[in-house]
Amino acid sequence: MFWKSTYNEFIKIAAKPRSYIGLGAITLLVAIILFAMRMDGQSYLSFITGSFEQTISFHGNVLNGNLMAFIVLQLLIIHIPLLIALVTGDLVSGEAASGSIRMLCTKPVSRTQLLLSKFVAGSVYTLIILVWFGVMALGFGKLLFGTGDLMVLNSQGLFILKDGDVMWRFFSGLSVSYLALVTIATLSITLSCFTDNSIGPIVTTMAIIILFTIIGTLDVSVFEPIKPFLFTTHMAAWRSFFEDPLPLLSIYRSIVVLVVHILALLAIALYKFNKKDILS
Amino acid sequence: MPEKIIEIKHLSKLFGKIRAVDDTSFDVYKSDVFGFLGPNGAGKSTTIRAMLSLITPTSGEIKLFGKELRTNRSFILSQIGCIVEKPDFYTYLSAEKNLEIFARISGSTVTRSRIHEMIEFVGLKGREKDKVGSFSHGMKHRLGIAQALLHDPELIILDEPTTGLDPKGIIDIRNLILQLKNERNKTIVLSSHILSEIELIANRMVILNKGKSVAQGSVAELLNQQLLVVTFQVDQLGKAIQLINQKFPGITAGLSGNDMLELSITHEIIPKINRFLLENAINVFGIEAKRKLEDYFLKLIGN
Amino acid sequence: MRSLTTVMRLSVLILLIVSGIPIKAQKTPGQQLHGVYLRLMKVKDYTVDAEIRADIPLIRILPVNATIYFKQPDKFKVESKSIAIMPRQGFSDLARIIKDTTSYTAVYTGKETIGKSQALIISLIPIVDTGDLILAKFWIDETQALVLKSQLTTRSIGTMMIEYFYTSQVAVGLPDKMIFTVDVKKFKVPKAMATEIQNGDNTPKGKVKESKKGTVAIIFKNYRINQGLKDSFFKN
Repeated sequence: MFWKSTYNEFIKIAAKPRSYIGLGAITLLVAIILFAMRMDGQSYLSFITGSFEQTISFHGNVLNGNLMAFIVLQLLIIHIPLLIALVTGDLVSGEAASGSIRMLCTKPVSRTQLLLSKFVAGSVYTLIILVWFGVMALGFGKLLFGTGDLMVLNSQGLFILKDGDVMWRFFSGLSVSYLALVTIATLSITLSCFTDNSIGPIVTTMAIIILFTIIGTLDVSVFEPIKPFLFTTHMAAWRSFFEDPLPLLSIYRSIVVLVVHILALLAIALYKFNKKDILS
Repeated sequence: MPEKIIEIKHLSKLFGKIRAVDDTSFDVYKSDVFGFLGPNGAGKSTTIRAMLSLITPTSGEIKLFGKELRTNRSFILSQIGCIVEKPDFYTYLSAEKNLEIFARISGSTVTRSRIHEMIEFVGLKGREKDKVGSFSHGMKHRLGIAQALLHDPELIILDEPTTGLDPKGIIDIRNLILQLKNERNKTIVLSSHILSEIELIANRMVILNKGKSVAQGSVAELLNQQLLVVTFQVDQLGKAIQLINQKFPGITAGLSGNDMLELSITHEIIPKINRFLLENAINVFGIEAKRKLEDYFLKLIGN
Repeated sequence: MRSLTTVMRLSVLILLIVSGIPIKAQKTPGQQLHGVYLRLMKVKDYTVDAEIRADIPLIRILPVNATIYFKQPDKFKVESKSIAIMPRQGFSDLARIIKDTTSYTAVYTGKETIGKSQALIISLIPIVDTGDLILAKFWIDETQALVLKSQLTTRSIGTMMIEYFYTSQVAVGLPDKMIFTVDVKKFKVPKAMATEIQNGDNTPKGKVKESKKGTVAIIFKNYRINQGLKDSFFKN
């Protein structure tokens, strides 16, 4: 019954027009960024390498598809949560608002199975969004700019990674990003169990992300103890895969924090959904 | 003794401090068409939602098909088809797709041909590919019934099934329910705030008011009592009351809610009272007779 | 009388021999440089495979293979599948600086032993001080007319030291290895672009390089000389 319910959820997500907003937005945004870099990428690059270029010069295909994908990832990964929450925040509350939750909950599917099937469907949707994002950034990036070594800028300077050493890093980074986005999806689904309107969970999810991001970046000692436990702190964990050596401990910590968040939020959602009186 | 399909024992539900259902008990037997009657806010929907595990009772016991609902939810719900309030579908999906979704999780194998059979049964043939968002209220109601019957359930629960329907729609639903009872021997529970609706279809009923069960039993017995509540519209109300109380000691004359003479009498006494009033120079402008229960229910609604 | 004449002849001969030595070593700095220039001019153009190893603060890069093209007087192109770092100046400036005898005053400023070679240090001081070059110094192996080391001080990039190592192409003055030491005081990471990842495990606290110098070592293999490279090839 669980897989039948999950299949139903896939059908519903695929049929909703709002599910395609995320895909469309990503297509448009990535296209715009790639176009802008095509037109004036050298200026952007000069901003990064400017202080070095008085003494040294960089040769080879610097402005390549790998760099484009990295830039796109860096610029857009913070905006993708909204596109995810737009769909996943509606999975429970949207049905409550429309009344179809009533019909669903009178079927011989347990509420636990129902919610888990929504979670699975939401996670798959998140995966589709991320895969499309990766295809647009990497695929179209390489199509337009060719391939080459990746120049990464972090607080310790420029790090130039060989072309052959880049793809697995992107794949691993995106995998950890996927965990972060599933955390967002789970948060919005959980909030969705507490209300009967769609907008509330979406807006609240974004508000929480913004609040936690601010706390995470404020240089205030009172917030230091909690920063490592905020899921937003680990949303940038994908960048760790572009370090050498890999900060494995840091990566594992991020994975654990994100997984714990997912499980905890799911537990809250299951409790609430099971106890909830369906009055709408 | 027919099999008990539903057993409700001392069911109570609190929403904060509000007692939506207050220690209600009743039984529904196999092949019953059972009526839930009560004014708005009486607790009918709450009771039905509790039976369908949409809400958790504060206390009490609910058994369906001889099994506890709490521990046998999946089995019980697989035997029930229902419409709770209005049927809300996925408006962005077609009628057919909506039925497929609910069929898939109905607990039975529902074939495509069965789906089409139900679509035809409820008179929506030709509209199955249309999005439900384009359906009228009546069409959605019919689709709701199709959804409820897809898996051929033993028990059908309909909460206010005629709400928002035009007169033809009401008749269609009524005929459908009778068809289900007579031809398919289904057990049907339906709730309404319209007595005449219950009276026409149900064989047993319970009346709820403020969460409590105030009357229950066979419809025929409850509504066929000898005593009627008769109101006389007269011009000298005080004199009429005094004279009747004097002349007819077994009858208590009183004031109705709309300042008319009200008597609780049998059918045969009506012309006698009418003659008596006229002989005493009290003009009678109108006479209305209701069954006692009907009157009681109408007062409930009026209050 | 006969013995006095012999002594006098011998003395004059000795004097001539002794005084002949300074007469032989007195090539001017300009002449020294011209000798180097003539050797360099034997090569009109060349193509060479290069392995470039950069060790520069704030930059982490693995060794890179590239192909370097050069055509007189100063056309230069690097082709590489990977990102290669090259010093902005000094690679193809040698002939141009040495050739320009009117803009600089060349003076001997010392001697130094480099490896097994004795090198004369020649400094070029700009006659007019408005140009980018402030000072150029060359360590010249006078016997082979080869530049063993050079130091260029410019307003734009500071001081750059270049070491030259010759084996296979010594006849035409092309090195098999060059090591550039560059001034990196001005290198900095643009804060707006750099983002901190999790601080902690791999951040070498207290061990960040504070060196003010960086090196780029280039190893040259397989020179293809005077193949007639066209000017249009360098136009990209």
